[in-house]
Amino acid sequence: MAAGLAGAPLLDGPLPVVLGLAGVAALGSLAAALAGWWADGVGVALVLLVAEYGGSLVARGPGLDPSAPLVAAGLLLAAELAYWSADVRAARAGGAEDRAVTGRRARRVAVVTLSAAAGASFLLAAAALPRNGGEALRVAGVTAAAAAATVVLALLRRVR
Amino acid sequence: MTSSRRLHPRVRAYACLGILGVAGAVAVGRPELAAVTAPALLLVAAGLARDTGCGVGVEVTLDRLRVVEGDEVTVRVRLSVDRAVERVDVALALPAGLEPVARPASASVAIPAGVPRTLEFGVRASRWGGYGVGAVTARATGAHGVTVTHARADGLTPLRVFPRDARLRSAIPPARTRAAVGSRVSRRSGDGIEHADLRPLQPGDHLRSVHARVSARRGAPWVNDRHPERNADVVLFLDTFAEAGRDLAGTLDLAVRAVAALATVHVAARDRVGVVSFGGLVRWLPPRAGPVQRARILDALLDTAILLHFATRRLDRVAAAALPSTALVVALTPLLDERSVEVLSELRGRGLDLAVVEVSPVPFAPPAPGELGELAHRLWRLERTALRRRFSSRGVPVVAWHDGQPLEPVLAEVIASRRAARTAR
Repeated sequence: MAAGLAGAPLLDGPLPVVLGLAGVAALGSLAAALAGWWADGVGVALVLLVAEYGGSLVARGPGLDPSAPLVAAGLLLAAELAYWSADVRAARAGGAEDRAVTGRRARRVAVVTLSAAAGASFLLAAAALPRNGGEALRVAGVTAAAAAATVVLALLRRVR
Repeated sequence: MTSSRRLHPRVRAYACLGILGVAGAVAVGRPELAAVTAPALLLVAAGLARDTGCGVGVEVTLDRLRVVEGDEVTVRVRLSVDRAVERVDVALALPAGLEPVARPASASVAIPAGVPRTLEFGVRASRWGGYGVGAVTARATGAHGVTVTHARADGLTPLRVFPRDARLRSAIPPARTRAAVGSRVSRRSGDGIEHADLRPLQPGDHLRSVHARVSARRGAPWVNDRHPERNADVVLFLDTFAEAGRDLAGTLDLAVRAVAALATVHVAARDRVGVVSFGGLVRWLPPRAGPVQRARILDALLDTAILLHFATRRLDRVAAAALPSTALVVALTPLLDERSVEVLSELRGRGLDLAVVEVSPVPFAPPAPGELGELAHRLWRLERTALRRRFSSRGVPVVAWHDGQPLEPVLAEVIASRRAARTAR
């Protein structure tokens, strides 16, 4: 899945070498994380994959990318599967896993993937709507993004 | 029990991804970036808002607390959670000497909130000893996959693993017996079954002892003299100054097994058996008879260990009752420490009936590679031979017992050499 995400931007045409390198680095960090050598490898791989995707969008020029929901779903699917693998390793790998545990986790992965696709589609549809707000709407968007980040950080602090 | 709560690694990753993605979308003016990363941010926000962690309870019990080597014990781990969790990963850590029947001793289970669940792990006791079982770690991932609670059960349940007895058919016959009735034919004369000699009738002799034919031939009453059946005091002397070994096998392991086997066979012969563990730590059990004493000895053996100590140890540290003057002392020693050699010489000097079984350290100490190593090893072996000769010259038979060799023929050799020494005397 991660290889597909890393390779997909290259299908649309030649891209700057640095983007290709970002994809390769993402696959490398994911492999290191799965092998148990680097615990933070999954997170770094996700950021690199998104950076590669963002770079490809900029290189491609204006116009919305209709495949963004697929990318969002693929990204979270790859992340969830990688964390599943890491969890099994953390549980002193190889121990018997209840069917209920496997089933519950599989359902969770499916729900997360589908929700990501649905959420991305919704945002993309919203972005495609004609905008007449000008700078005010842009400021509102930035404020909303900053508020979302603040809420997440506040929740993180509360749970810690 | 100790427990701690942490965030699942995905939380930090998703939060970073979401924040960076949304910021990047604003910076480059590409809503697709926000569309791709915002779901991760929403997932984290929703999870953090609803998942506040859970309490995990872990209780460990064993189905048996006393087993024999090779037996299996069932370790029951009772898990309980106060809130719904996605999964609980449980791992049982075992000390060396205990091994899981099915590897690895871990499992991942789903547990509904408020309904405890019990997991069973089969554990095989592969070596004698006293163990603490119950080091269990549980890792519960919250229902929304955001928090991970680590719990650790620290309370250890003691498990006693007794050595499996080597079956011995015969024990070393003591030179001296006690006055109490037992199974050994005493050298003294008295009431018994075994014929000893014929002698003229003396006042106090029973009439049934009169030998009719000899009396008729001699023209005066002669009686049968017999050996009475008596028991003896046996002290098993365990040298714990030093040992040679690899992993769990070694001279101490062999010596403890031998002590257990000798205790069993002597108790069965109605002897009074005691143990003296002599080394950095000096401990003893005075001789007593009966199966309870055997159990006591086995129990005491489990805590036997080499305690490095450089002080001189003298026999006067041992209570007099633990070393009766008429006792047969069977010493099990690797003859590695000069102090143990001195103590054995002191035992002989006290006039005790001493037999030494040398638990050979040679198989556990291979020569260092190279010609010099071979030479050093040869010299060491020669020194050991000289040491054995020193004992033999004092009338103490020393028989070497090598790893993998059964104990029975070694004891037969001890018995034969004692008989030869007695004949020579």
